[in-house]
Amino acid sequence: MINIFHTADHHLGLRFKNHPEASNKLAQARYVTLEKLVGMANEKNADIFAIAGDLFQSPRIKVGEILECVHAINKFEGNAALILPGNHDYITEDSQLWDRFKKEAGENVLVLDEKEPVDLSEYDLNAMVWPAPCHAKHSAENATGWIDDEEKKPDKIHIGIAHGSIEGVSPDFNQHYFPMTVRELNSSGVDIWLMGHTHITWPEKPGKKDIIFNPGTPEPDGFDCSHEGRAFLHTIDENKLISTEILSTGAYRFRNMMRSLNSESDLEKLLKEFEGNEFNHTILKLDVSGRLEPELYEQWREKRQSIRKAVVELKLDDSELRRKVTEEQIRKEFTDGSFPEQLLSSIPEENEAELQMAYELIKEVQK
Amino acid sequence: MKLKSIKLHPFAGIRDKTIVFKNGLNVLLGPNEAGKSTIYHAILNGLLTTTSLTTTKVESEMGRFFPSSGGDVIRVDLELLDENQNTIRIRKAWKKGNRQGSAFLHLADDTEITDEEQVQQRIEELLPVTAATLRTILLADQSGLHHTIREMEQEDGVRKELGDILRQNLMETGGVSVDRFRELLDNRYEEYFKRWDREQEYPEKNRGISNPYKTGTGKVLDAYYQKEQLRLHLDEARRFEDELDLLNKKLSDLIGKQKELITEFEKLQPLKKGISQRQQLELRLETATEKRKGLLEISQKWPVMEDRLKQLKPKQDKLQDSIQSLKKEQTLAQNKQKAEQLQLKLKKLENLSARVKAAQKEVKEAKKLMPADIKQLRELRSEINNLKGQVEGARLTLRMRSDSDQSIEFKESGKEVERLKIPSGKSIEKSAAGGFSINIDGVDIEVFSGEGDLENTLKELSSKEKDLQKLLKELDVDTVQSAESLAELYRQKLQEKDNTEKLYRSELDGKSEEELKKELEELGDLDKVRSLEEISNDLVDKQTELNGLSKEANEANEKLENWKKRYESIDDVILELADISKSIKDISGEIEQLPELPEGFDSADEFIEKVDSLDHEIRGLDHRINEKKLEKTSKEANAPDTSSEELEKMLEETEADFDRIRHEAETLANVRKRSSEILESMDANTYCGLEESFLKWLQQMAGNRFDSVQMNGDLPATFQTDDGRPLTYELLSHGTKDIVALAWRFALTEYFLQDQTGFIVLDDPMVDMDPERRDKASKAIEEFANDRQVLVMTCHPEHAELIKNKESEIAAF
Repeated sequence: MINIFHTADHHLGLRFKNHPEASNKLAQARYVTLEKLVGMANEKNADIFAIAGDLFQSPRIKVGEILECVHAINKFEGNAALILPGNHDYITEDSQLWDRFKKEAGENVLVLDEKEPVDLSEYDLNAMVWPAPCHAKHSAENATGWIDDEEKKPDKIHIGIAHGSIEGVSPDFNQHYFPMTVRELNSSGVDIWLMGHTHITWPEKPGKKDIIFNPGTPEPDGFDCSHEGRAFLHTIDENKLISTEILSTGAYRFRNMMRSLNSESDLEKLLKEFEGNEFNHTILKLDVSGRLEPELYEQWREKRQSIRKAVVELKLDDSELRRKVTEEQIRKEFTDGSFPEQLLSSIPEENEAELQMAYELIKEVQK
Repeated sequence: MKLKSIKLHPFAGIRDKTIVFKNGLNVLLGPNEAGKSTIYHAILNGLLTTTSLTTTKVESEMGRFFPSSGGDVIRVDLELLDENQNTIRIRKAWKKGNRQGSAFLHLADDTEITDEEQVQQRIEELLPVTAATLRTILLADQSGLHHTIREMEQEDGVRKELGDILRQNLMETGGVSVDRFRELLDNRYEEYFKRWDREQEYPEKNRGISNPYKTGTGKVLDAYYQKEQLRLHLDEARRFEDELDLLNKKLSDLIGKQKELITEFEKLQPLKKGISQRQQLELRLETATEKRKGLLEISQKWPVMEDRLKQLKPKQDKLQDSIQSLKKEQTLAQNKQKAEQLQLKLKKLENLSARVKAAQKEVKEAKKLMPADIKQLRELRSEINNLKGQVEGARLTLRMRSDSDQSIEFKESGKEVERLKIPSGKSIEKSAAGGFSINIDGVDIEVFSGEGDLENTLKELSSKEKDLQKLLKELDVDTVQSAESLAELYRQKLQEKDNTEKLYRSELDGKSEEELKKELEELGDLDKVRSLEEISNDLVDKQTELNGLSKEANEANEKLENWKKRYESIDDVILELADISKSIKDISGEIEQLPELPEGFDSADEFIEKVDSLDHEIRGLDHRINEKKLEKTSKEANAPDTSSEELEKMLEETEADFDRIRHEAETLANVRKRSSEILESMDANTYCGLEESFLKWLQQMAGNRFDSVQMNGDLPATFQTDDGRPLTYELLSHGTKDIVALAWRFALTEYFLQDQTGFIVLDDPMVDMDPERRDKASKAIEEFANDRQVLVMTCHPEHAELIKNKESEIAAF
């Protein structure tokens, strides 16, 4: 039986420029999470700690960051840590990143930089590793192609490890990311495929017959990655049957929320959601729509700051939230025939944005 | 803002006087020019003219207010009451010279200002209307009364202020300042759309991201530039990543290729020394083997060749003998050939001798006519022919007729006598050359040609003919022609004889026939001798055979000589052969110890060349790899700090931002457009209130003479009378014009001072009015003064009395 702690797509060195308020926290969290994962792998008594590509964001990483990373991985106490270069931290003949990494790596840390099988018997494991390292940022080549024709001894567990897009699983319209297909992977003769590249978890619920696994990033990195950060713990028994546990790993979450505010209770409910600490590690994209009475609308304008304070970073779009401007209100607030009355009355109610803008401009002048 | 008091000390004709004003109506009575205008100008300048004037300006603007009695300073002190009844004090002094004046402003909060420019600025801020409106409407002097309307046409500032006030009245009932709203809209519109071409949906003047505006851009353009800048960054990042991939691929290929070469090099390089040694030893072995082969051949051929030389000698001698015999036989054969030639010659001479004799005989027997004879004959014939020609030239014709048969003798000169018969009745005709003679019945008649001596010619002809005949006879020929033929025949025979004799002599060749015969006899009997050809063939065969043997012998000798020279003896050859055989064995042994040439190589040279070539290629690749590494380092030094994937995400966000901002901007543009349309339509009603107010005051003073007023925008244009006639301002009488002007000023002042306290100065407003209108006007002024401070200045005491109401007093000055 072999336990494999499977992770991928750490993207150490990612700067999060599009999240100016959260960038430092998010960037640092990725190192913390890596260390956390190694700790989890040790707790779970994993035999193998496998990173299926994109440990780093780029081949150009500061030495200090390489050292921080490799020292974390060196703490793995299992038989072998397998590190596959992905398309972001691809391997080249003169790779300073991987040369330095290997120089600092512990004896049981293997950089899988060649397309050749690695016999893990040297590490007391009856297994062969079949790596498909990436040699470029973009490539139309299926790096696993070489594995099909290789002879595989039936008495060993054959572990494939690859990084790239899988047709039907991850979008790759231009075939730029070492494209592979499920059929090709299934027919390659390996017992389990440890995949990386797609930042979401696949399969969402691993079944007994699945042999291809993509854990997703352990630390979410954008609004298109709404999970909590994940890794897999695969257990392969003597009959090569695989059981997989999904582990939650991330510190920060990216959440997309859409709320419609049409009443005081809607507003209160939304504000209440952010009263606790639930979102204090959340980067929130909040789209608010609806129509509020002027007073409520003003309340919203005042209190929305409380949401910003409750999260790490807020990307708020409330351009679709309207102040309710009715004919009755207009008549009540402005003298009949006066310019404000004429202007507001001339805007059809369905032109909510225009009506609201005109109203706000009038109110601004009125002040 | 109201006037509380004014002090002039001095100003124009007034040396020191203070006038205190009250609320409502103030009537100021004073002499024309000297008094009332002075007060008017003191108020006007006290409020509106700065004291900081240049020398020229002091003179042009204030010069007329300096006292005629002397002095270089004029002063005006004004006290004003603000809305809260606080007093504001203004003190101004204008002094001749450049900026010599002084000003002082004491504000309600006890602030004091002495800076002249600031004093003027603050005063104008305190005024309820602009300076232009104050001057044109509120403080119009008497001369301006009639021209109020016309002046307004010229004064844009006043009209704008009026328009603004009227619009405010109309539109700001909702508590919204239209101007502020419009300004806000314009500012917001600018904030959004500055330097953005809405129609093209692109930056103005096509200044896209490659040539962006640096400053003064609106939100839409900012968002557009941000989005496009990110797109550029994304393109750059993608290009960088692709180029780096390509460079890495090239570098990887080069390093991979170098690794392959190094592997092969490391496999072959250790063999290079051994292969090189093997090559040299194999060369030595080849040389030694070749030498042994040569020695072996010499050792075998040396005795054989010596035997052969011994066998060759007798064969050569025998052949020499045969050749000598053949040469002798060859001499005999040559003699035989000579004898045969002599025999033939003698036979030929015999024939030629017979031919000579026959020719000599024919010559001897032929008629011997020599060329001289022929020549003589030809000369005679020529002379005769010549003479005959002469005679023929003198030919005569004789025609004779006889009545009876006659016979006559006729003789032509030089010819025989001819008997002619003349038959009876017939005539005959004869011709003769040169002359003739006839004998008729014994009578000789001689007739001669009349020219020359024809008779002698005939005689000479006859003589020559005789000579010719004589010579022909001597030569025994009949005619000259036959003589010529015979002479030719004789010449030919003589020629034949000479030729034959020449051939004969030639054949003898200086010898006689006898000598030749003797010579033949001396050659002897040669019948049994073989032919020369047969003998020559034998001789060639023998000589060839001898040459072959001699050559063989020479070569053998030469070789033997060489061998002897080199090896001295056959024994020495055998000894050397033994040595070289041993050497060959040793070299072969050494070669066996060395590595063999790997498969795929045909020679050691090819192998060594391959190793050297690999070494060279590896070094060459080193250079190229370093170049690529440098290129990569250089490229990576300029690497974008954000990956294309991150930039894609950022671009998506900025594109969404751009769309959102543009949507906001377009919404604002719609609001602005809608506002503008509404304000435009409302503008049309701006002057309705003014029109009503004006008509009210006009009707009050004109006694309902006018039904309505037609406005042209902000100015009254035509006045509709009660009998339906439309009158323009120009058509009105002076008195009516004064009423219209007063009503117009009241209407305007109501608007200008509607929410504020203020004052209006009326300078002799009723001077051109008839008593009825004056009465109505005074009542109107009184009514108007109920709500406002009115200063009426007049030089007419009755006007002052008329205007004065029960509360007011007349101030005289």
